[in-house]
Amino acid sequence: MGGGGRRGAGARRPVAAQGLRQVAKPDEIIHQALRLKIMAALHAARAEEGIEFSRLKALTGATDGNLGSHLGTLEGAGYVAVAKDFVGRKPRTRASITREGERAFRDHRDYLRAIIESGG
Amino acid sequence: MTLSSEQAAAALEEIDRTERRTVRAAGYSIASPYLILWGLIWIAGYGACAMLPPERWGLPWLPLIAVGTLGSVALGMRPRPGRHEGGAVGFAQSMVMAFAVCMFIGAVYYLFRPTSPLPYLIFPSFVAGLAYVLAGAVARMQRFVAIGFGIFAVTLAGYAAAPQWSALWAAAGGAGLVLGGLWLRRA
Repeated sequence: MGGGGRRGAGARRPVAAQGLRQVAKPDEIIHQALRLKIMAALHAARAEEGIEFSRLKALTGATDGNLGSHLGTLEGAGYVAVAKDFVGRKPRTRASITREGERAFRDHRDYLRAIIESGG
Repeated sequence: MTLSSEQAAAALEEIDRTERRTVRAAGYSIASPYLILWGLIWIAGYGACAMLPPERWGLPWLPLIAVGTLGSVALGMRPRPGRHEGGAVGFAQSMVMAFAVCMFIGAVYYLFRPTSPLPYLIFPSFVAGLAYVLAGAVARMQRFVAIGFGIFAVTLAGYAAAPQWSALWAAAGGAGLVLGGLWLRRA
């Protein structure tokens, strides 16, 4: 299972130091309601070997089709890695956040915080 | 796309809620096999007590507790991605808590000296139920609270209704732990 993405070069500066102007673009891929939940769940479980599809569905309240489609979008952006294997004879699908996804998610969350701090 | 501060706050709240739910589900998943293991031991121990005279109630518990402890160690040693030294620390904490609970139960017996053997059987179930309720309340894991109340309610109601079957009511508390463990697995 891949931790596919790349970490951005150099240490990230805190939002307060960057200022809202420099992080003024939201991540439109992440901000969609269900994708935001998917990324939040995968980010919270980043120390684990991914989250199984069925559990991710329960955590986000998504339907099968919806979850598959949005995971595909996130995978296409390099934010999520999807791995399929078998446990015994049972197929298992797991999704995990990539380094690139972690960075993008934190940046987006910082952006949201910066909006609030700046009074929107 | 431009967001207002209200929209940003709502998105951040959703992130927090989902992260909390994810961490809680991971905690339930880790706890589940321990509950099932100790529930089975509880059923075996109290089931044996139901068939033995009071002076021999201690006999089944020593080997069962040894099995439970070894089983817990084995569960704690299972490789889990992302876990480093935290597993050993968690196990040590659990052992300290279990020891403290046993000390508490022993001290209460010493203080109040029950005149009938039945409270000896029932009281540990009450304490275990309370421990689950408190752990669930502190960790904000509602399913632990429900499991603790379930154990407490079944044991107390059984004792009140038919005290002569106290060992079986206590064993029913163990069945509650097994069911609770299965319930946590589905969280």
